[in-house]
Amino acid sequence: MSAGDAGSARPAGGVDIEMAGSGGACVVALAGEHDLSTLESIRAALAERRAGLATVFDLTQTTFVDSSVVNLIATLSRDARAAEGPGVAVAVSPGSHPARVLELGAVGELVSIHESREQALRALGLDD
Amino acid sequence: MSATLEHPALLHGSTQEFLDFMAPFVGEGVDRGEPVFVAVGGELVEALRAALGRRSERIGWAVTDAWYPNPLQRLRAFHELVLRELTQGARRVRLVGEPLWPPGEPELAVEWQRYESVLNEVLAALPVTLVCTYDASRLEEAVLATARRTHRSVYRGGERCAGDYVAPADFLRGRRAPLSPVPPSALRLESPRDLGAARRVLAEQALAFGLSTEQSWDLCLAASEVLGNALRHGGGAAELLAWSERGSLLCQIRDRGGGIADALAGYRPPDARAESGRGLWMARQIVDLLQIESGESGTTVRLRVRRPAA
Repeated sequence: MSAGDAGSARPAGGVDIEMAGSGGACVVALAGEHDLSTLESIRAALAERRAGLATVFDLTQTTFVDSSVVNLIATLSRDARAAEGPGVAVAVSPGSHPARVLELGAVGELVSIHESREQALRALGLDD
Repeated sequence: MSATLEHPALLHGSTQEFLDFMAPFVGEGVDRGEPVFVAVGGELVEALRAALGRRSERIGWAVTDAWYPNPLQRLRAFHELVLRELTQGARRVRLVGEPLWPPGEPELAVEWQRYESVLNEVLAALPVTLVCTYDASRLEEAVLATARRTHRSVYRGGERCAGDYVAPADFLRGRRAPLSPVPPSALRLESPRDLGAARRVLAEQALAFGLSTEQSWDLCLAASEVLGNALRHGGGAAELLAWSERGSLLCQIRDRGGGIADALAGYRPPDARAESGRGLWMARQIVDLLQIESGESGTTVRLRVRRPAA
């Protein structure tokens, strides 16, 4: 085996935040790869959410997540349930890598997981 | 019958001895309306089914070679099965399991023994009786002796014999497969800091070696979790190595941190509500073997993934 090129550019782990569900939800869309190193940018985006809105994590354009992202989603879901406040839901394509990681993380009973952003919004009682 | 785990071992010298113990045990579970699930070798499944007649229809059956043949996945499957049954109203669950002894894979045999020990802790507080069966006519005496160290009670030849039980953390510290030497030809990344870049290098190796796309994903996720831990807690990773050995791809990450004190790190299923503690647990499930050597001068974590048969 030869040494690989460890310094090559990586696909950016983008974070977009947008309103949806007739203004009732904030969608946090994660593009590309997300791990420990992008966690702060996800947290920064979450801090911009307006209070009182539901949150949808849209992972349909995500190519990689690690346990730190699962931990973050599980913690937010847990706190939202405990506070009986606005809900948290996740949209993830079936069979994708992020879907597998969520399954491995065994957060199914806590986190509301759906196949598309529209379904996630409907599960929160909102229109897309 | 206690409200917590009972985890005896049966060392059966013949199929008849297996049936003499197991048919009354699972039959009684059925009669009491307890959920019963059996995962043993194919011949034992057939023999026990025949012995139970109609009652066998109320038992869940699996052939051990095909039902979560990775010890960490098996651990999770048993744990989730028990929680599911308890949620649905069961008061006690009866399980029968037979560990796998893959030929030519001594490290995996050790990991199945570690799994047996860990079960005592992971299922400790649950109302479960799990009987593990060992074919004493085929297994080496050393394997049978180890079963005495991982089970509080052991039955052989129709009698309960003296155990030699060791607490899981102590057992795990003492029972570790030695790490084979790293060949000089191994791919080496010095001080990797970019998780994504390390994953891409590893994915390239994995696919070139002949792992499937899913295996490559899983190896990259497991390595990324371990590397992430090293970067956070291990004072930065010293190196990442990858090489092949006996039809498997190996990846090793070494750090110079203070070491991992918990002998059961990554073995306990995390609570769904936990804020952390998922990384190593996920990694253990998605590779064939994850080994940790940890001391004051740092931690070495080795991952092993077998190439699928062509």
